[in-house]
Amino acid sequence: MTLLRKPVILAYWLVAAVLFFGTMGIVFFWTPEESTMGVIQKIFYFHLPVAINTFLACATVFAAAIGYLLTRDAWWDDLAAASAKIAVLLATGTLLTGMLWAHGAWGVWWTWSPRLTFSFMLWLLYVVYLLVRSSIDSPQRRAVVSAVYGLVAFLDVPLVYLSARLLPDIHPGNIALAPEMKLTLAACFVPITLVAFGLMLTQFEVYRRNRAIARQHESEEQTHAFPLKLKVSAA
Amino acid sequence: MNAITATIVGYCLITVLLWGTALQLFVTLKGQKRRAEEH
Repeated sequence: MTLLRKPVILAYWLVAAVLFFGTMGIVFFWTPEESTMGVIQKIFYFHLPVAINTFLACATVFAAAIGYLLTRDAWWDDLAAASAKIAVLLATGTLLTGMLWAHGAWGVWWTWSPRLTFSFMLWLLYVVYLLVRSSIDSPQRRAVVSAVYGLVAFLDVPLVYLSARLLPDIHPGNIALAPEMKLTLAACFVPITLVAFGLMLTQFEVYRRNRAIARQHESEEQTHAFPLKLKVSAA
Repeated sequence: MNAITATIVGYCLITVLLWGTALQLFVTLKGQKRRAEEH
C-alpha cells in the first residue's frame, strides 16, 4: 500500500486474525448457551457485528457520494466503489448467517418479514450499484450516476434498522443478554470491524492503483499518438 | 441440519467470505505491483 508501510499492514491483519479466531473460541467454549434457542443463538455474536458493519459500509458509500458530488474528485468515487463492494460482501454474510439462525430458531430458512425483506432489498440495491458501475464506460458519467444512486440506496439502511422496532416482525428488535453474552458480543465487534475496515482500505487501494495504471496508459497513448499527428499534419 | 452443524457452518461461512476476500485482494495488489515493476 502507498499510504501505510508493509510491517504496519502485516501487524494490523495479524491482530485482526488473532482476535477473529480468538473471539470465535470465546463464543464456542466460554459463552453460555441461550436457554430457549440453544446453541444456534451463538450465530448472533458474528451476525450482528457483520450487519452493523454492513450499515457502516453503506454509510461510507453515502458519505463518499456526497464528497464526490461536492468536489468531483475521483478519490471519493474510488472510496464509494470500494465501500459498496464490501457492503455487498457483508450483506451476503448477514443474510446467510441470518438464514441459518432462522432455520434453527423458526424452522424456516426465509420469511418475508419487514426486516428480512428490507435486508434483502439492501443487498440487492448494492449489487445493482456494482452492476450500474460496470455498465457505464465513461469514468465521469459513471462516477456521477453512482454517486446519485449511492445517495438513494442508503435510504434503505434506516428502514432495515427501524423495521423490527416499528413494525410487527418475527425478527427480534432487542435481545436480553446475560453479562457474559454482552461481553462476548462486544468482543466480537472488534475483529469484525477490523477486518471490514481492512478490506475496505485494501479494496480502495486496488481501485486507486487501477486508476493510476489507466492514467499512465492514457498518457503513454497520447505521447505515442502525438508524433504521428505531427507527421500527418506536416504531410 | 442440526443446530451445532448450522452454527459451525455459519462461522465457517463468515470466515471464508471475509478471509477469502482478503486473500483475493492481496493477490490482486501483488499482481498490480508486479505489473508496475515489469512496466
